[in-house]
Amino acid sequence: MNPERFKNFGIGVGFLLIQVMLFRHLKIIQIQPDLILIFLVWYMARKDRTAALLMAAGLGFLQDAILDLWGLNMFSKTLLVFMSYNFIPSGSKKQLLIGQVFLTIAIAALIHNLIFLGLNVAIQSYTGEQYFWQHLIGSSLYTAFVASFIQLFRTN
Amino acid sequence: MRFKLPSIADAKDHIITALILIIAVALMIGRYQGGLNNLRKASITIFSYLEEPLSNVRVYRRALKTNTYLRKQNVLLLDELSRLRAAEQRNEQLRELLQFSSESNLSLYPVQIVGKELNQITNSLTVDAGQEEGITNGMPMVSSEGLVGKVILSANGYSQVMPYFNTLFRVSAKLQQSNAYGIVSWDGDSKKELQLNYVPQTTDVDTGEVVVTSGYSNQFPPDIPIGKVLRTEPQQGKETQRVYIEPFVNLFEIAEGFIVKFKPDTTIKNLNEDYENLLQ
Repeated sequence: MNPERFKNFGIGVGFLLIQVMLFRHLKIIQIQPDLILIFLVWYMARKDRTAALLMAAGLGFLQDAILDLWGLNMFSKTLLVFMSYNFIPSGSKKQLLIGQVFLTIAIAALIHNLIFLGLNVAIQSYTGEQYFWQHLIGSSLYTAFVASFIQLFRTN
Repeated sequence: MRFKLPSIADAKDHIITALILIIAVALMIGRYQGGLNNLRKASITIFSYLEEPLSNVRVYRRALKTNTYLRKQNVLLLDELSRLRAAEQRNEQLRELLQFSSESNLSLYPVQIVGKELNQITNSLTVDAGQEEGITNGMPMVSSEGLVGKVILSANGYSQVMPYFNTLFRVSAKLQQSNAYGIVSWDGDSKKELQLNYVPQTTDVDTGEVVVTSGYSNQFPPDIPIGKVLRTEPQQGKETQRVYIEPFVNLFEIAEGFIVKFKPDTTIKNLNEDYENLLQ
């Protein structure tokens, strides 16, 4: 990890600590902002996709570890960065207007929270280990097998 | 048609994303299957260290909410306490009336005062019983403490009572110890005392002595308490003295009472009429 990336990771951890120590206590009608998400959108606009993915995974993991969520934020944030990287205005020297910033963050937060909540519901529903692995591995392999079979016939 | 596989470099981000997502899913499964207990214990310890400095903020905010809630509860409880005290007081009054009703030999009809006019010389009370309930003019009204007044007007369902604080009110009364009798009336001055007139100056009257109805007038049954003696004053140029009485019943506080279904004895009435005719 180069010094620049290490520094940015430190800033991300700083955001995480502020989120956990301060903003969790400043709820308005049980709603709290997600500072990590803001940091990640800022990071996406300045760095390459791989770095953004790794940063999202790292910070998501730490957030999950602190909040005992284990995987939920890591999954949501990584998937968000992966899906939305190309839509975030990047490398521009021109400063964004406040409305653009609000809209970008709002859409990113909506997608993130949608993934987060959907995953949360799903993981609570599929807690049976056998069914989960059947569904995840078995179904995935079976789908791939059928796709390969179709490809085989199509080439012939 | 040629199928070209993308290079590893092109798919790097996809592979990294897939790996991270698989790790995340594995963590989620591990958390629900109980496989991360040691990690969770460590994270809880770290989290508690982070939470500790600001836990007082949460405690303070909770205390503020609790304070607001308790203040509301306090107001509600005070209101409830006030209503309970009023109910207890009313309960005691009704118990006293009930006891008086069961101990008295008189025929009593319970009434509630629905109207009160005590600001004028001609004071009056309105009660919720009338001709339909057998109430007629002249019947006395009493409470558990003593005499209140007498019915002067009876209608359907309601009657008007002249209380003792009325300049037109008269009742034949006697001192309970000496049996000296007189007429109790109100001079319209003080709303704290009545006057017992025509008591001879030779009669010794003690302060605190009880004055009751005599029954001589054939309008009120005997021995209904009226009040107790406050003081006496000799009447100038007369052989009688004026006895000031503090009535037992507080007209300003009374809310219920009884109408005594007392009817004058016609034999005595006829005898008095015959006597008056004989003198003429």
